[in-house]
Amino acid sequence: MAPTPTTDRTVIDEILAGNPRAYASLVDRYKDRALTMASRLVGDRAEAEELVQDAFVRAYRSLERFRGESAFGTWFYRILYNLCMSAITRRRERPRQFYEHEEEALDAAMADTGEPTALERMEEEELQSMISEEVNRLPEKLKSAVLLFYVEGMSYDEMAEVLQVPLGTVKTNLFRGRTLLRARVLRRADKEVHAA
Amino acid sequence: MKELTEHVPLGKIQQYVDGALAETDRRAVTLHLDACRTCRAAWVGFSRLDGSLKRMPREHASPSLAATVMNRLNITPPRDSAYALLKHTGTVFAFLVVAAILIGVFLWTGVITLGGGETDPGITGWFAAAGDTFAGAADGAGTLTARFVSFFSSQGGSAVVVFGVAVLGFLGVADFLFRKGSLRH
Repeated sequence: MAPTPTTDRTVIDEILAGNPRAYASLVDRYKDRALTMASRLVGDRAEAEELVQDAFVRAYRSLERFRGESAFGTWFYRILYNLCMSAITRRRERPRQFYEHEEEALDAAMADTGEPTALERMEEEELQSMISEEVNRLPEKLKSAVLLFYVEGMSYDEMAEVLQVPLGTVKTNLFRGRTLLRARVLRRADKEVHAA
Repeated sequence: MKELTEHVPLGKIQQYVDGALAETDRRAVTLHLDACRTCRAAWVGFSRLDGSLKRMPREHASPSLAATVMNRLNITPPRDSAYALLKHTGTVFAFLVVAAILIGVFLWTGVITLGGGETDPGITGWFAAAGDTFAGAADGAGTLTARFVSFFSSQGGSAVVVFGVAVLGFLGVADFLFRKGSLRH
């Protein structure tokens, strides 16, 4: 992720030294990326904004317990991720797991090294919009891995800390997420070629 | 470019795109990609996907999000310099109001006099003299200002003191209301 731990640490030290107003700069620094992640996870911008606010409030209230063993961003995203998962559970929508046909699609995608000529030919704008839609359709675990890697620019280790899973699971989820994305985008691109 | 029968696993191609392979593995995959059309196509596909994912549109949070969070935490934002100036001015006004009230009390209790005597013109003697000067200057002009000054001149210094107390009191109340309103943000 963005290498700002030193600066973040300085701000946190300032807050703990008695200047709580300095927290606004941390909020400003992370709010856009946090909202992007929350918005994609819960699928609703207004709810995401509430969750981001809640995460910042919780993070501030726990700041004294932040020991700096990880970057503030990693620690903060763990709070946000847990809030998003709770919100999804509260809505009584079980976090989307793999459906059987998706497993099959993934297996097929992994077995097939592919002839992604359709993908190569696609216009950037069209591909961008297709990928954006398909990311939203990914099961939560795969989507979280893809978002943390691409939106937050986190390393595998940081992702493991945020998602609270072993490093191997992070790599597997990221691999499955990208493979499924590629397979779905190729399938849509093929359909469009045949429809034309 | 020939077609090979053994292909690089997709996971390895993804790691190659991420730049996460060890140097020896990276070299081996590079050589394979040069020779294998299928794996090269997969690599191009993942590279394209990778680039598009990195450019995925980001959300932009409301500019007031930080203020909302700070408000929820009961942390007041720093005041700007204009507010500081007004706050300072308000304090000056408050002192002036207190001073005017004290003068009024002293006048009422007779500690100081409104003057008018030959030997003791009092504090209002100066106001009366000033009023006469202004009234003289405005004499014949017929303007509202002239009539206003004339009125104070004719009423003597006591009217000036009362007017001053009223103005300062108004400013003090306005300042109090302003600050009360500002603290809510």
